Amino acid sequence: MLRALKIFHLGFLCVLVLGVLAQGLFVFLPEQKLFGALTSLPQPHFSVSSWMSGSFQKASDEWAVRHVGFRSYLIKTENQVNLSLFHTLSSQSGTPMVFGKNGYLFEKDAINTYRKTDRAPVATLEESVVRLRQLQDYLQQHGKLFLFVLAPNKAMVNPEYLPAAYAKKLTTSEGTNYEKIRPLLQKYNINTLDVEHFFETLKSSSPYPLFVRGGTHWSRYGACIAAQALRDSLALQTPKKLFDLSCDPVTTDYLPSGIDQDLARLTNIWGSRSLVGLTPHPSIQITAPRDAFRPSVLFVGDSFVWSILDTLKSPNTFSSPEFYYYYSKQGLTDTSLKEIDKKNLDWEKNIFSKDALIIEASMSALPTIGFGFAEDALKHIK
Amino acid sequence: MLFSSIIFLFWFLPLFLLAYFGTPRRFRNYTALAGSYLFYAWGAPRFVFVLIAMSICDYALSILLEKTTNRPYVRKTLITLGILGCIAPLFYFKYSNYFVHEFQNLFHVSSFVWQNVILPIGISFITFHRISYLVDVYRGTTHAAQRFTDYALYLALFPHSIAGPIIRYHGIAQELRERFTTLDTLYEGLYRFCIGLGKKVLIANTLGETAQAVFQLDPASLTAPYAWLGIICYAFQIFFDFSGYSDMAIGLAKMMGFTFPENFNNPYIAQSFTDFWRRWHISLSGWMREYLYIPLGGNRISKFRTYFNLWIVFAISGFWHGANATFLVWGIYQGLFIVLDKLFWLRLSHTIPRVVQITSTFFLILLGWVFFRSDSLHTALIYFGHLFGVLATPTVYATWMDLITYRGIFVLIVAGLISFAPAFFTYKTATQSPLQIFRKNVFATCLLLFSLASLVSAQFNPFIYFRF
Repeated sequence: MLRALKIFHLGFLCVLVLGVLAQGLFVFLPEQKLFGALTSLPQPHFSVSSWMSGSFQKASDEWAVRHVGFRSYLIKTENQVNLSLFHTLSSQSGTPMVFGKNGYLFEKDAINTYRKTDRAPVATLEESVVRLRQLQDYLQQHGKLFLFVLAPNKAMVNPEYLPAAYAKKLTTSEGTNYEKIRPLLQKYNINTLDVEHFFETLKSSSPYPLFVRGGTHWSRYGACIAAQALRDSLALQTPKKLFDLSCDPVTTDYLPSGIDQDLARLTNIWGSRSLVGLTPHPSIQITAPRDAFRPSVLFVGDSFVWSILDTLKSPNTFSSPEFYYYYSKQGLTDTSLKEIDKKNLDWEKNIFSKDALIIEASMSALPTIGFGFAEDALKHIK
Repeated sequence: MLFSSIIFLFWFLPLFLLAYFGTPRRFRNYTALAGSYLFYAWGAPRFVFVLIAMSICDYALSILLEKTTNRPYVRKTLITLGILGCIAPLFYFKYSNYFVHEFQNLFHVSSFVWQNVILPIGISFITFHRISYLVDVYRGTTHAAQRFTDYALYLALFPHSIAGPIIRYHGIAQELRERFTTLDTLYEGLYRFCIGLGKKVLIANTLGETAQAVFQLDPASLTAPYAWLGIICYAFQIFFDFSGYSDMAIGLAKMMGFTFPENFNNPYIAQSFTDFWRRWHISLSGWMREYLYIPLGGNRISKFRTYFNLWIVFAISGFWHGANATFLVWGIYQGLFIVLDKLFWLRLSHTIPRVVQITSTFFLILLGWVFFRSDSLHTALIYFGHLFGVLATPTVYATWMDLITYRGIFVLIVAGLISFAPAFFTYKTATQSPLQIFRKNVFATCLLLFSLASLVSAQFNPFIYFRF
């Protein structure tokens, strides 16, 4: 009996190992989809030189981990165990996350901004603002519209959902980057749409959540009202009629999509739907008179812009919109991005010919507004 | 190649075992040797040739030593050359960078250009194996290997070549010539391997994250509680990492028919430093006693010389761990308390409650680990300053959630229980029953699966002792 049990156990482990190997090589069972941006790994290529340099071994090690059988099942199980038993989020995706109160998920970067642990010197922020002013002046001289959009921070808008350990800010008299840049934006008269301030004032009276539990960006409802504010800010700069945008009626359910579940999906657990709560869905209606001004527009910013573009994806809003994502790639959807050829960028044709330039920055990107775009634009102007 | 890597667990080990057991018994040494060289070459493709060259030189020297039994002067010359030949590569590969940089800093000599030497994996353990073999042949404790492949396999055997345990040649000489793998040895070996894997991946790696986070903190943010959290996590990390590795090595060897000695015996329930070093890295302290302490005179000389020799042995032992003054100081620190044991602690200990002895010893061991973990003496001193609240923390950036998760807290408690429970409970190895075998099967499988899930999720994590 003892012998049989031992043989059974050894046999079981052999089958387990062979099963994992076979699954890795032939993928008998479909692997689960894992969410998050993953770098592609090159196939290890054996040669004497790659062996002697150790590059073959390194590539093989990485390849073996990436192609181990049942990898997605193992990762999701590990993450689920961590969450269910230990209330901990596994953050191997490169985007550290924190599990807050009421099931709210936060990006660690957002919390760092709230707690003032990512403070930049005022001089750095002022340099960025001065560049924006110079750019704004140039564009206004040429009859163009300019807007700087401050995207909101989930931790700053909803600090009540932060875990107790993160609820307290650093005891320093120095403000957050946001608190330091606001007076600078006023001082230099930058055309600013401060969505952070807008959301903080609107939060208590808003019938719908401006941030949902499982998303890091504003909710689709939040994006819609931010787009309304963006339209109103542009309208202040031109006597021409622009489009009208309505977000009503708003329906609610527990079926998130897109940005409303980006953090929840990144947890890569078995039941990420359980991490999302009530989700508002605005009914986006865009109308414009026949003679409405449809400015051509260039957006420069980060992932907050996607939802603005999605909200305003109507021919009645802008003509030939473009988006420079982190001033590194360009495209109107995250599946159609191509590299920006900065060395051969035709500034006059591609940028300064636009009717409007909108630069967006989230709180954590305030020390690097525009990701180098403003610097390069001013170099071209000079 | 790490024992806890996917490529080892699912590619190397299964293919090796298939080849090994598929080979007729009389040729299995060749298979084991080929597998061991492949294992070593995976991590150090150039140095495997150095390893082979060392094996050839040592084997030739051992034959000469046996053939010159009537010529003591020649033998002495040969053994001296042999030991120098063992120490020289260790010094060059491991310590030359350190001494050159120290020389440059001390004498401000920036014009002297030095190309850093790459440290071959396992060089420290390989050196000790070589010395023990040659000295044992010289002393007559063991005969020279009958075949070159026997000695080459002893040196390169992959379960122990990189990070121990340190095995004396005569300890496995018989098994090199003839060994058997039974169902029981295969089963027990696999079980032991799973235990080691669980210790390394589930405990050491988890606590290592916290230790790393604390030791990377800006000193301005390092409060006393954080500092204690960091060093306690490190103490358990290093224990479970190293003992886990040893378990895996012992398990792998057992699967192949070799019996390796135990390397750890619940070191944190030690009641004195003397007791600690009978429980921690047992193979190292045994080697030090046999090949350093006893040749220096052991305890057959004056008390002062004995204490001095003990201190020297521990200083060397500390420096063997790494080319940094912190390791040297750690060794001296260990030696200090060994001497204090001899001077009065061991005599007094029977009057002190066991719990107090264990607690105070663990506390002092913890402080020693600060040197071991720190990058420099300066960093270590700053850490001590924060441990005892002497240095200010003007701006505390980190919260406890930045340093440890709830899973980490759970694992810390489990690590503490595993480490200290043997002081209060004795585990009796009961007669094997079907129920016990079944429980072992389930336990080992769970450890393997949870470790696999953790490894795949975490992707990479090196052993602490790997570069010795």
